[in-house]
Amino acid sequence: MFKKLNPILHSELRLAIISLLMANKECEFNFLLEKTKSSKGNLSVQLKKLKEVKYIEVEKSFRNNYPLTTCVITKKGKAAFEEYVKDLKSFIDI
Amino acid sequence: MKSEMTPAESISIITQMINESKETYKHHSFYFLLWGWLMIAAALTEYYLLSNDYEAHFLPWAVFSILGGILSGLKGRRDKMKHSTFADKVISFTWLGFVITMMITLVAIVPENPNPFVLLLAGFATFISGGITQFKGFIIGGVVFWIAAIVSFQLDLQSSLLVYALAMFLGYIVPGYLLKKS
Repeated sequence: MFKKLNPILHSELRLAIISLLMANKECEFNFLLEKTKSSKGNLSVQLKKLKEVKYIEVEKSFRNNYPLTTCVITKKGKAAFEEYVKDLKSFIDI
Repeated sequence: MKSEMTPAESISIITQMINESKETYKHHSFYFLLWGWLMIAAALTEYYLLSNDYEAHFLPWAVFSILGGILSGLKGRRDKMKHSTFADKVISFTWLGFVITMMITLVAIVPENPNPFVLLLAGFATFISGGITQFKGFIIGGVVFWIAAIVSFQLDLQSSLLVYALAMFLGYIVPGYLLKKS
């Protein structure tokens, strides 16, 4: 029997966000927006969901008087991603 | 974006996003070229001043280093990246470590000829930068600096300045332009 894939990560946009955060030390909101080609609203909603489950940390600051949102993945987020990839492999290795 | 995906689609997203994050190290070429040209200018100016028996012959190093620091700072601020990678962080720390180690070494030892020490440390930092970026030009550049350091240990201050300038050209400028064009 296959393990059920983590529903938090098994969503196209959230998986894209977590993958980008796995590959980078930190990502700005605009970088995530550009790479995931999503809308600002949808991206904000998904970031909020990932933050709620403590997969990411979101830091709000200012740069040149403009608001700046920076995201980093947490240890819990990394572990969840690794587990998700492991589960995916079990599907692929049939 | 839909919420249900097949495992194959999941793998495809992960791969795509990781590829999107693949680094280009072109932006590092600016610093190698800037510091390469400035240090060559400093070495040749000191060579000229020594030839003319100027007492404050070491002054170009201070002037060109301050200029380099200001220009690097301005460039860093302007190019503030939307994402920072682990490799960028390691490279920054390597060069920060280089500057601190060089200052401690020069202040503690006060060598008559500081050039071999600077070349030795520059070789170390350049070699590591080459390894992290997987750019052979800087790996070879690091080795060039080490060879130049060995040669410089045998020379007096004035002659070692020419070796220093040549090493900067081969270790920073040539790979810097190659990286920029890559």
